[in-house]
Amino acid sequence: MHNSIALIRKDFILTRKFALLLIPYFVLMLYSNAQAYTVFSLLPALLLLINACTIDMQHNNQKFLATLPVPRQQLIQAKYMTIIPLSLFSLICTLIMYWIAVTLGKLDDPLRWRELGLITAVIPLLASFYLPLYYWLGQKGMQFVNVVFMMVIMLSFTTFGSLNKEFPALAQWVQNGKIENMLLLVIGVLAYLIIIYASYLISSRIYMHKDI
Amino acid sequence: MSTVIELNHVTKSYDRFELKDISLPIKEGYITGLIGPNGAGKTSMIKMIMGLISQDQGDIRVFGQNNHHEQAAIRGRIGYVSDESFYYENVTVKQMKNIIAPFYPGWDNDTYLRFQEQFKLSPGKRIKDLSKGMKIKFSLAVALSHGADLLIMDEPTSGLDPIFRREMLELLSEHIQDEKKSILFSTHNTTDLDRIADYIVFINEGRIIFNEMKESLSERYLLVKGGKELLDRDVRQWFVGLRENGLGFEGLISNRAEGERYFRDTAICETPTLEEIMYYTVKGDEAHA
Repeated sequence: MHNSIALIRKDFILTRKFALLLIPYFVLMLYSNAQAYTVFSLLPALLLLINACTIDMQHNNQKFLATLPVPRQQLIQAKYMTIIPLSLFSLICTLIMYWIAVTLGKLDDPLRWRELGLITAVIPLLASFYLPLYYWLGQKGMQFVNVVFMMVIMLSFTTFGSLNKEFPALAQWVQNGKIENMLLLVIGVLAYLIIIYASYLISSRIYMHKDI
Repeated sequence: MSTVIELNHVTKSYDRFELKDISLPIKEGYITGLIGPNGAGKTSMIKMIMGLISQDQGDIRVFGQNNHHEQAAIRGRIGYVSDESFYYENVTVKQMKNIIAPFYPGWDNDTYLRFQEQFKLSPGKRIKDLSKGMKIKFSLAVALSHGADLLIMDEPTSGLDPIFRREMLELLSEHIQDEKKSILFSTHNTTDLDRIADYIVFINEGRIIFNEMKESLSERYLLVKGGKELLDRDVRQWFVGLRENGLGFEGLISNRAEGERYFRDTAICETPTLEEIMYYTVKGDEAHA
């Protein structure tokens, strides 16, 4: 656990400067489309994850990681665990943005916390598609994966708008918190967890015996 | 005498290169120099020991433990210095140290600060702004600051100025004074090993040519310089490598006693340097041709 925390800390040290670039992003979003504030939590966490992964892959840095007294399995675990503080960071930034928007009079509706929570929960799901590709393609394919993944994130922005039509039960829960079909919810949560775990297993399988 | 690293029938194949059935013990408490020409397999061997690449066959044990099953425990006791920097380029020396230190329970910050001072490493300087030599100094400071029992160094002296090179060799000699520390040191620069190595492992085209005490090499090999009239078909066979020109010949014999008996009175007999042993062994056939 100590090593995982040290690895997560390392990611935060490395992405610290990049995180500052998110300030103009939030300012821009605040002025251009404050109403859609819930969706804005998606981008910072995923951008920071991509940035941390990219830095880890450049300049023989994989060699540095692989020579640390940490099992490779733990390197992967830590990368998946990094998603949690990154998601929380995104969430906190969005909440601050919401508070500023309310203070400035740009927003007057109550916080859509269920919608915000749901979108924040999507971050680990998207990362679950990114990380196995990252470990598989390595330095050579990383640029390609990053570009494709950025497009996926942008698409996600628009997809969330149409989610209400596709999944009315979900839209109802977001609006009033009512759950009509408990079974569907359980299946959804299970599928969510299985995807993340399967992604972790695939990444482990790829990276455990990879020559660095 | 116990071994710190043991390779048993290790094989690794690439498209155009293969490490073939390598069996090699590295003794504890000594400096072992790994020599060989470019592409001989030195770096691949070191990478396998470090667990950076997996062998196709065979077994590698470090401190008596399997290097794949006990990765973390083994690496915690190794200080690794590579000729190519693998640290994060955009962080400062201090930040990089702060990233590394928490992973090593035996990290000694006072020792690190002492080396930082000694090597004139500026804590606020970015890794990318350090020269190659300074990057190696930083690697060395890190490797020596966590109480490593084994230093594995891949071409550490390349890119270093002669003054620091000597300083570093002295440091390494000091490091193994307690006889429990060991060093595996790969280099092209055989004069470094002439100064400090106890054992020499010579690798060429993916095969171990020898693994011997440095002193025993001078008892085994003989460099002979003489006139061409001394060479006939049978005599030529004694040479590991032979170079002929208009004036005469120069060649390396691997049976010193026999060579001295035959050439003592007719040719110049000298103890070869490591470089000469390496040169004639690698180029032997070409020299014959």
